[in-house]
Amino acid sequence: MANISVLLTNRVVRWCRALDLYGYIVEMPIRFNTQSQGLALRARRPTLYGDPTVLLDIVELWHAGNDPDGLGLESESCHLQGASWNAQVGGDRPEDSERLDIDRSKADQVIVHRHPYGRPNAVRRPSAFPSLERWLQSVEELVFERHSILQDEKD
Amino acid sequence: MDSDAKLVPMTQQPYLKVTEVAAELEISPDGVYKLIKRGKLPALRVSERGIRVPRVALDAYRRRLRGVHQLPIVSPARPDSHARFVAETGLHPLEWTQRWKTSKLEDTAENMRFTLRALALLLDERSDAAA
Repeated sequence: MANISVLLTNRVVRWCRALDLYGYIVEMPIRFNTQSQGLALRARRPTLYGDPTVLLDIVELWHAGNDPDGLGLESESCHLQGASWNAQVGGDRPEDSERLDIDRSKADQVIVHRHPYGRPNAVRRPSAFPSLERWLQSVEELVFERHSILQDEKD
Repeated sequence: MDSDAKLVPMTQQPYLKVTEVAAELEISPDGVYKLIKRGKLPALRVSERGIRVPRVALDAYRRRLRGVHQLPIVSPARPDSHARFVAETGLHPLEWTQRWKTSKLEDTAENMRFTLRALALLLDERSDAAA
């Protein structure tokens, strides 16, 4: 039986734990609406040691029932209807963003897709759906790359 | 990075080697590797043998050691509404999603978030109608 409330609570806790691990500050309030079956949170990491600033905007929309497209994006008898995980790294231009979207209005092969860092918004790449922890790690790798490039430019 | 280490005081370096983390935590390098392996401390592999730990992640680990957590209290926001959505976008959620599906809206991060809000509002509408 679908239990959207438990699911959303678990998702928020899991996001917050992972964000804490990487030193992010989660901004309140977390939008967590069981009627709309969705969660939205914002987390940021300011520049403390010369590394780039990072701003994360996370939105997930969950519905009861099995995944209608057979993608297996399921938990607690619910499926992830849509999502947007956006990381702004070192700036606020579209090109400074690494984004993972689940958009079921798109063609099957790009329902789960990335808007890769360094490219315009219009660029989409089909993607597997990573765990949130794996995605945060990939953002961390991006931050390190960006930091290394900036250091090289300074040198 | 190694040449930077000569120029920048260790306390200000954004990325630390395992030996530097070990010195800061007063544990052995093996202890640091164990923390990384157990997922207690994020790390980056920067070369075949090179691992770096983000200092912000080390700071967060030390806070957790002291029992200071940054976990926020989950507080429900005021419910979203059609009126607020229309005020922010100029469009009804249904119209927004139709425009999104036909690629008449730019695929920005902000517009994607509006799309998810619109879908949630339409779902609420259907639930209310069914009730």
